[in-house]
Amino acid sequence: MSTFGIGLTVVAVAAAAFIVWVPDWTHPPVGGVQIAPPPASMVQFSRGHIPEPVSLHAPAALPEVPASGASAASVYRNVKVLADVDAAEFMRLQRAMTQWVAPAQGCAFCHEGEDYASDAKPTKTAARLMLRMVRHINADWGQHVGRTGVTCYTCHRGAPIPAETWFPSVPNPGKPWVAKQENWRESAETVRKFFPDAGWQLYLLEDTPISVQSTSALRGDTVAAQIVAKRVYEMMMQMSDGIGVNCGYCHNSRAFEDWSQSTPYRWSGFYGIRMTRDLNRNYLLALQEILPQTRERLNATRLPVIPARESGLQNGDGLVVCATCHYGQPRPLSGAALANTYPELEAKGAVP
Amino acid sequence: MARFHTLYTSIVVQGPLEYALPTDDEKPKRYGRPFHSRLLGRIGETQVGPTALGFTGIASLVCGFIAIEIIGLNMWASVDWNPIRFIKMLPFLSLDPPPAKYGLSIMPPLREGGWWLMAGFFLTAAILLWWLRMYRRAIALGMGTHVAWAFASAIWLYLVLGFFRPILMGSWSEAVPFGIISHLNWTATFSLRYGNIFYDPFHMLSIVFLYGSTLLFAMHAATILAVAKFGGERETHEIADRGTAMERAALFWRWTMGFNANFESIHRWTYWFAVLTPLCGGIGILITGTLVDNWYLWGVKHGIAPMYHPLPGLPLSPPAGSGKLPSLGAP
Amino acid sequence: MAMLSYERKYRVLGGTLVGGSTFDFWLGPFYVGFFGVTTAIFASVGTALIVYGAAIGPTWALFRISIDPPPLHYGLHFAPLRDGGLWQLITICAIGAFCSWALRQVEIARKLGMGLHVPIAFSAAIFAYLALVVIRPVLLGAWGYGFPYGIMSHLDWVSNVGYQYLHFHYNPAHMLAVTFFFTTTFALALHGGEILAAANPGRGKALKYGGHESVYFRDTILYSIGELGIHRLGLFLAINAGVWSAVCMIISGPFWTRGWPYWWSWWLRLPIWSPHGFNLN
Repeated sequence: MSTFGIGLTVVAVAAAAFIVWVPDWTHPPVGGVQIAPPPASMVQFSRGHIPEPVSLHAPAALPEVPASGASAASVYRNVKVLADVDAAEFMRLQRAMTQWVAPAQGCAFCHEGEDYASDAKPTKTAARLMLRMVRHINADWGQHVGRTGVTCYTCHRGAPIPAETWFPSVPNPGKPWVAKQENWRESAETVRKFFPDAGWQLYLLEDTPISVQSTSALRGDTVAAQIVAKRVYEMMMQMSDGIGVNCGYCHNSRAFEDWSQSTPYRWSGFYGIRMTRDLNRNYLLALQEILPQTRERLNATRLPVIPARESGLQNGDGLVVCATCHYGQPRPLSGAALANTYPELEAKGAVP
Repeated sequence: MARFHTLYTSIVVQGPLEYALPTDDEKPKRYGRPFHSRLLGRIGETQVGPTALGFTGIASLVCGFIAIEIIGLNMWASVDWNPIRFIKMLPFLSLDPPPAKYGLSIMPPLREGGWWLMAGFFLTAAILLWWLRMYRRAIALGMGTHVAWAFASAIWLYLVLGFFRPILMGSWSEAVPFGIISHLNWTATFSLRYGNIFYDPFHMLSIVFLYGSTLLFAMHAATILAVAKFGGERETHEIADRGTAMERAALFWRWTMGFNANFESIHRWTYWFAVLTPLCGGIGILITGTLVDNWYLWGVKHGIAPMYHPLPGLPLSPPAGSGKLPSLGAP
Repeated sequence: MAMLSYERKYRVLGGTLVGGSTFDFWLGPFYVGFFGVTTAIFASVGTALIVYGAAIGPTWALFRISIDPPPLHYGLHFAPLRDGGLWQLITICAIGAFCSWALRQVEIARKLGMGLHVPIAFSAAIFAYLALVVIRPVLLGAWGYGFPYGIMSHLDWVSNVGYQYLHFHYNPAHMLAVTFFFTTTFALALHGGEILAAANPGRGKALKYGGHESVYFRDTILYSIGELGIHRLGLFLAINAGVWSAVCMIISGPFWTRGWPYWWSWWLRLPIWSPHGFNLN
C-alpha cells in the first residue's frame, strides 16, 4: 500500500477511536417508556450513564422526636418563620437543614459564634427567606409539586449554592463595528451551561407569553417573529434536558401548540414554568439583596481561552431553572415524597 | 499482475497535458499551469487545470472573497482575534440578519445586520456572476447550457431563502444567518414556527426528489461501473453510437423492472430529479408564512392528517392564561 | 414479445444463483429467476396485508392510512395481528422482497456479464431499511420502535423520533448524511447536465465528447474528474448518504438518549481550550 494509503488508514483509525472513546456514549440496554399509543412515537428514555453533579437520592429523614410541648418561639430567641413549630421538631429541622445545605460548614454557616439568636451572618436571614419559599412551594404550588413536595435538599443537595443554579450571563458588549454574536457562555464545560440564556430571562423570569405557532392554517393577522420561536425552542430544550425528558413527554411534535394532542405532563410543565417565575421574582431576586451570590474565580491562567468578561469573580443573581430541582430527573429525587417527613415545611400562609 | 478495477485505477496513466480545443468560439484567458496528480488519478483524471478566468470569473471570485472575509473577519473579531477561541467557537459563530424592527431597511447598523446585508449582497453577486460564467463557457465550447440551468434551480432556492421570502414577509430577519450551527437552528426554528414543515406538500416533493436523486445516482453510477469493462463510461459515444455497454445496461434494468432508459434519457431522469429538488424546495419555502401559517392545520384542512387517539384523561382546552400570539413587535 | 431490437442475442441461459435453469426465463420484459418468484410472492403477500391493514383501519384516505408497529410493551415478541402483528408480517415480507430483488439483480448482472455494483449499492439501501426496522428496535428491545407504514404517519414518526433528541440537526452522523445527500444531488446535476449539454449542443452544432467535457469543467471549476471518475464519485456519495443515515439512527437511542446538542460537551472540554485545562473528570 502506498504511503498515502497507510497514512489515510492511520488517520481513519485514530478518528474512529477518538469518536468511540471520548464522548460519553451510553449503550444498550436502554429502557424506553411509551407515553402515547402508536403510531405517535412519543417515547422517554432512561438517562443512560450520564452522571449528574449531585446525588440523586434523598438522605434518610432524621428520626422523629417526641413533641416537647413548647413552641420554638417560647424556647428560643429571635425565631421568626418557625415560631409556631414545636421546639423539639424545630431543632430536628435545624439539624436537617445543616445536613441539606451546609454539611461541611455546619451550624456556623448561619450562626455567629455561641449566640445562635444573632442575625450577624447574612446566611441566617437568607435561610428565613428560603424557608418561606419552601413553604410557599409546598402550600401553593401543588399544581406542580403535587403531594411530593420539596425540602431544602431538593435544590441544595448538600451544597450551599445549588449546582444547577442559573447565573445570568454577563452581557457581551461586543465591539462597535463588529456584528453582534449570540451570548454563548464560553467558560462552560457542558453544553447545558454553554447555551445562551436569553430564553431563561424571557420565560423563567419575565411573564412573556409562550406562544409560537399560529392557530390558523392560512396566514392570519398575527405573526410571531422567528426570534420568538428561537428563544422558546432554546428554553424548552434546556428545560427538557434539565428534567431528563424529551419533547415527546409533553408534545406531539406534528402540532406542538395543540393541547388536545399533548400529554397530561404538559399541564405540570405549564405550572412549573409559572412557579419558577414566581420563585425567581419573589424570592431569588430578594435573596440577592441579602446574600450576594458569587461563583468561584475561574483559573486566571486559562484566560486566553475564555473572554475576559467571564473570568474572575462572577457576581450576580443566582436564579432557579428547572434543573435546579430536577437535576435531570422528571421527578426529583426519583419522586421521593419529602415534605411530609418534615410537616412544618408544608405550613400555609407563606408570603415574603 | 495489475487488473482493471472499477472502483479505483490501478495503473494511473498520465498522457500529454491538454490545453485547448480546436472548436472554442472565444478563446478565454486560461490560467494555471496544468499538472498531473497521481492521487487524483486513482479516482478520476490526472490533469488539474488550466482554468479559464474572464471578467465574470474574476469578478465572481472577488465578490465571493469579499463576502467570505466579511463573514470570517466579523466572527474572528467577535472572539477578540484569538485563534484558539476562534477554532473552539467556529461552529457556533454566526453573522445574523438584522432584527425584525429594521424591516427591509438596507442600512441597518453594521453590528445589527448591516454586515449581513453586505455579505449577502456580495455573495449573491458572486453566485450570479458564476452562473454567467457557467453559461457562457458552455456556449463558447459549443455545448448546451443545461448545467447553467441546473445551477439556476439551486440559485432559485438560495434567493427564495435570502431574498424573495424576506421581502414578501417584510423583514430581513426572516432570512438565514451565515453560520454552521446557526443555520441549522434557523431550519429547526422555521419548522417549529410554521407548524411542522413535513406537512408542506412542496417540502414532500422536494424530499422525494432529493432521495430520488441519491437513488438514481446510485443506480446510474453503479450501472456504469458495472459495464465499465465494456467502455460504458464513454457515455456521449454510447449515445451517438450504441455499443454493448449501453445494451447490457439497458437490458439489466429492463429485465429487473420492466422498462429502461437509454444513455441519453437516463441523464434526463437524473437531471430533472436533481433540478426539481431545489425548485420544489424553494416553492415550499416561499409559500410558508406568506400563504400558509401552520402546515399541520393546512394538512388537517385538506384531509391528509391522520387522526390519533387522544390520551386518556386529557383536558382539551389549555389552562387559563396560556397566552396568545405576540405581535410582530418582537425586538 | 416486448423485446428491444438488440435484445434477442442477450437472452441466454446462465448466471443463476439458485435453481439452475428452472426459472431461467422471461415474462414479457421481466426476468423471472428463482428470486423473481420469491419477490413476487413476498411483494404480493405484503401488499395484500397492507390493503388488509387499511381495510381494518379507520380510513381509506390514501394519506391517512397507517399500519402501526406494536406497542413497546410487547418487546421483541410477535404481537397480536391487530395490535402490530400485521406490521411485523409486512416487515418480514418487505425484507424478503427487497433481498430477493437484490439477489435477482445479481442473477441478471451475471447473465449479462456485468459487475455486481448495482445489487451491492442496493444492499446499502436495504441496510438502511433494516437499521430502522430491525437493528435499532433490537438494540432498544422492542419492535415498536420501527416506523409505521403510512404516508403521513411515517412523517409524524420521523418528527417525533427527531424531537426525542430535542434538536436532531446536532447529530453528527446526521450532519454527515445530509451533506452527502446534498452533495450527491449537486454532483448529479453537474453530471446529468454535462452529458445532456454535450449531447444536445443546439441546432446545427456537432455532438461533443470527452475532450470537451473535460475542458468545460477545467475551465469552470479547475478540475474535471472524468467519465469514469464521476461515476465512482457518484456511487461513493450516494452510498455514504445511505450508510450515514443508517448510522445516525442506530446511534440515536441505543447509544445516546439525551438531546443531541448535549453530546457536544466533549468539544467544550478539549484540553486545549477548556477553562480548567486537562481534566480527567
